[in-house]
Amino acid sequence: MPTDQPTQTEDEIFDAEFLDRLRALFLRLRKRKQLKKKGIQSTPASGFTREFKDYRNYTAKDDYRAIDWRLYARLDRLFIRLYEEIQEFHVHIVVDTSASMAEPFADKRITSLKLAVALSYMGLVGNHRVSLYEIGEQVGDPPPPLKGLGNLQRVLDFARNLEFGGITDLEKCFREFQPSRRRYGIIFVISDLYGKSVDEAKEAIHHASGWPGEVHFIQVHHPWEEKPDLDGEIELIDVETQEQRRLWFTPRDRKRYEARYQEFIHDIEYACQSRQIDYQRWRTDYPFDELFLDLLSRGSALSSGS
Amino acid sequence: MQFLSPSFLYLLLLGIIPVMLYLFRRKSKTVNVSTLVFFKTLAREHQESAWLRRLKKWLSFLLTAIVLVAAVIALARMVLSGRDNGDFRTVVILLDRSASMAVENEEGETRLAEAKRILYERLKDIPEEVGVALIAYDDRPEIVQPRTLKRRELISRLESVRIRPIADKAGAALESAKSIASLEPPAVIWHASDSVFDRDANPDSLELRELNLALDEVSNPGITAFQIRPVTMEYSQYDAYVQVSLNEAAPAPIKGRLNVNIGGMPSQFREFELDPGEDSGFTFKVGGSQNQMLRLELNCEDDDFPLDNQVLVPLPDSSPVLAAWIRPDETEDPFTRFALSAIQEDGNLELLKGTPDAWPLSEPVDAVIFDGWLPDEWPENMPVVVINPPGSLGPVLAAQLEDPVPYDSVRVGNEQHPVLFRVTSSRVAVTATAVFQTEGSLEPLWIAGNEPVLAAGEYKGQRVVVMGFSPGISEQLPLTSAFPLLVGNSLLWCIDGNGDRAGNSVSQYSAGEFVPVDGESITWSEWRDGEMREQRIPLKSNLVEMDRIGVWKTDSGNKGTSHLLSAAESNISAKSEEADSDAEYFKVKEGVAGNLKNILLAVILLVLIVESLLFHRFAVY
Repeated sequence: MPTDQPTQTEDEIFDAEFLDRLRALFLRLRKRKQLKKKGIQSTPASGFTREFKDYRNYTAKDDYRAIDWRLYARLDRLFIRLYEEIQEFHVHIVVDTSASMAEPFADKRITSLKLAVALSYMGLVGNHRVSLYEIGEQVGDPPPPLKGLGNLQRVLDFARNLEFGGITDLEKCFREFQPSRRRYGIIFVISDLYGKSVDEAKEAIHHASGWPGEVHFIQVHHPWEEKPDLDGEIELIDVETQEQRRLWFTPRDRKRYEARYQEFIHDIEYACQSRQIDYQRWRTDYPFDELFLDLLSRGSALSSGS
Repeated sequence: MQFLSPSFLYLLLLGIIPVMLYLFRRKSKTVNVSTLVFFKTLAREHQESAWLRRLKKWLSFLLTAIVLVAAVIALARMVLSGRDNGDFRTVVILLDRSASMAVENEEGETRLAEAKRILYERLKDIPEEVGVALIAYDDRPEIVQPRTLKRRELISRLESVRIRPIADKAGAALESAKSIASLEPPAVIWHASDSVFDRDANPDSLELRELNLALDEVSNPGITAFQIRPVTMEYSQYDAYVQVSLNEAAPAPIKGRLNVNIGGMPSQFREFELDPGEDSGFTFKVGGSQNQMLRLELNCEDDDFPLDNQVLVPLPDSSPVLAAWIRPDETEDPFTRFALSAIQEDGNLELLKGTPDAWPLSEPVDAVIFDGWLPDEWPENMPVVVINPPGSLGPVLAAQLEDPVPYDSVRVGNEQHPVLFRVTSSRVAVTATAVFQTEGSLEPLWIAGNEPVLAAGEYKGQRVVVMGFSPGISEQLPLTSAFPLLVGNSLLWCIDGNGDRAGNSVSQYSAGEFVPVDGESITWSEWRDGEMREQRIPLKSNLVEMDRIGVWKTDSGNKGTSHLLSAAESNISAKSEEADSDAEYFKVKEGVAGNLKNILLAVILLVLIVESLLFHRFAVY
C-alpha cells in the first residue's frame, strides 16, 4: 500500500558513510576490472587519444583504413593495428524529478538520488566530465559539467536541491535532451518511465537511440507498483495529475494488473534491446550495492575508465 | 395473519448478518498511486456522486433485507386468510373410501381423488404444530395414520388410500375419530365423504367439519339385491331374483336393460323404467350346468356409478333334496310311504327312513318328517314336517285324540299358500287324530270343524308344516292325488325356506365381510374391461376379506362370491346447500387472501433480478 514512508533525510543519504561505501564500491569495481582485463578489450565508444596495443590479422569485416600498409609492404600480409583507447568522456546523468518519483513511495526518490550521486562519483573518480540533468515536464537547465573528485560536494548539493513534483512528459524530454557531439559519453537515465500512457515510454525511447554515447536506462520502481496490495472499493489518485479513479478491485483485477505491468516492463526492455540501449530494473527493496555493481559490470565504459 | 411454520421465524436473526455487514462495511479507501495508466486498462471508470453511492449502498442493503425477510416469511408460511382455523391441536381426517367415492365428475375425477386434492391443499393452511390423524373407512374404520406432526408422512399415507368396493358404515368410523380426537384436545374432525353426518344425531361438543364431495347432480341405477337357488326337484334349473333401484337424487327417470349371461353367452334380458327412488324386482329362471358363470349386467344411458351394475356368480350345485322320515315301525303308514315313493321316482328326492332310534341323525338333511313321533328336543336347524303329532314340542302344541274324528270336508284357510299348490281341497275328507294350536306364525291351511288339521308357518326362521290327521284312516285322502302333492309341496316349501340347505354350496357375501377359509391360496375371478380376469393370491390367514367384487375359490375347495348389493351405497345422494355448509372452510385460498408462498417467491425472484440488473448490468458497487 503506498504510503509516504518516513525515510532517511537528505543529510543522512549523503553522509560520510555513504561516501565511504562509494569508495569501497569503486575499489571493488576496479579489482573486478583488473581480473577481467586479459587480451583484447574493445569498446564501442571512441576516445580522444589512442595508444597502440597490438596487431591482428585483417578480416573482411574490418575497416580497410585500419590496415597497416607498412607492415604489408614488409611482410606481404594484411594486418590491422589495435589501439587501447584512453577515454575522456562525459557522463550525463538524467534524473526524473516528476511527482511519481517521490510519491507515494519516497524510496524511489532516495534511490534515484543515491544512484545519481554514485554514478557521479564514479565519473569524477574516473576524471570524466559529469553533467547532471533533471527532467519532468521538460528538461531542466543543467549545471556546468564537473570534473575531478573535488566537485563531489557540488554534486551532492545538486542532488540535495532537486525538487520533485509535476508531471512527466517522456516524449518531450527525450526529444529535447540532445547533448552535443562534443560531449560524447555515457548517458544514464534514472526514471520510473511512467508516462501519460502505457506506451509513451516505449515510444519515447527511440529518441535515445540518437543520443551521442552509451545509453543506460535505469527504471526505478517500488515493489508495490509491481504487485499492488489493493482489494475492494478504492479511489485512486494519480500523484502527478491528481486524476481520480474509482474501482472495485478484485483479485482477478490484481492478476490482470500484474500481467499488464510485466508487459509494460518487457516492452521497454525490448525497445531498449532493439536499439542497443542498456536497460536495468531497479527495485527499491533490492540491495543498492549489488544492483550498482551489476549495472557497472554490464560492459559500461564507466567501469573501464581510470 | 398467521404463520403456519412459526419456528422458521427464528431465521430472521440471520438479518443481523446483512445489518452488521452494512454497518461495518469496508469503507472506500483513497490510495495515491504513481500512475493511473495501468489501472485504466482494467475497468471502466465509475465516477459517481457521494449521495448516489450512498443511495446505492442503501438500496443494496434494502434489497438484501427484502430477500431475507421474504424468504423467512415464505418458510414460515404466512397466510393472510380470514379462515377460522380455530384453536385446536388435533385434526382427525375421516376419509370415506367406500364404493360410492368412485363416482366421477365431468373431468373424470373420482370423489376420493377430489377429497385428497382438497385435503392436501387444506392441510397446507394448518399450523405445523397441529397433529393430524387419518382414518379411512368403508364398512369399518382403519386408522391409516395415527396423530402425527410429520406432514410428508401423512400426505404419503393419504395418497395410499384407495377406493374399495364396499358399502360404508360411517358410525363406527365417527366413534373412532372421536376416540382419537379426545387424546389431544381440542380437536376438529374433518369428514370427507359424499354424504354427511346428521348433526342433530351427533350433538357432541366436538367440532365436526364436513367436506361434502357429493356431486350437484348424480344418477345411479344399480343392482341392489340378488338371489339364486336351484329349483327344487328340477335338474340344472335355477330361480333368480334381481332388484334394481334408482337413487333418490337422480334428476330424471331412466330406462335401462338388465342382461343375463350364462357361460359367457347372452341368455335373456329385461327392460325396465325407474323413477328416482324407485326399485323394481325381477324373477327369472335360468338353466345351466353347475359352476357355469352367471353374469348380470345393468345397462343404462345415464349412470354415474358403474360398480353396482354387475353381479357375477357361478351357478350353484343342484344336488337332490335329502329328507329323513322318522316314524315308529308300528305306525308306518303305507300311504305316506307311497306318497314319498312317488316323489322319489323323479330322482330329485333322496329319502332316509328310520325309527326313533336313528335320531339324532348322523348326517345333515334338508328336511325331516316326524310321522306319529316327536323327539325329546325340537331340531332348530332344519325344516320339519310333522304328521299326526303325538304330543307337544317346540312350535307344535298338540294332543292325540283318543277317538279319531272323521270329517267329510275341510275348509281352506289360505288357498294361495304354496303347500296347497294344485291340491284339490274340496274333495278331501280327513280323520283328525290330533288337535293342535296354531298360535304364533303357524297359519291354518285346512280347518275341519273348528280345529285346524293342516298348518304351515315359520318358527324362528325355520319352516314347519303340521298335519293333525293320519292318512291311513282318512278315507278320501290317501287314494287321491291330493296327498302326494301335499307331502311334496310341504317338503319343497320347507326346503325353499332353507337357503343353507345341503348341496347349495356357493356362498354369497357382501363386500367387506371376513370369510373363514382354509388352504394355501385364493383365486379371484373378476369381470373387468369386458373380460374375465383371474388373480391368485397366497392366503396369509384363515380369514379372507371380501375386498373386491367377483368370484373366489381357494385351493382347498372353498368358494363364494362377493357383491356390493347395497341399497344404501347405491342410493347416492346429491349435494345440497344444507349439507355443504363447510364449503368455505375447505375452500382452497391462494394469493393475497391465503397462502403467500407464491407471492413471496415472486418477490424474491423479482428482487434478485433487480439486484442482478443493478450489480451486473449497471455495475452498481
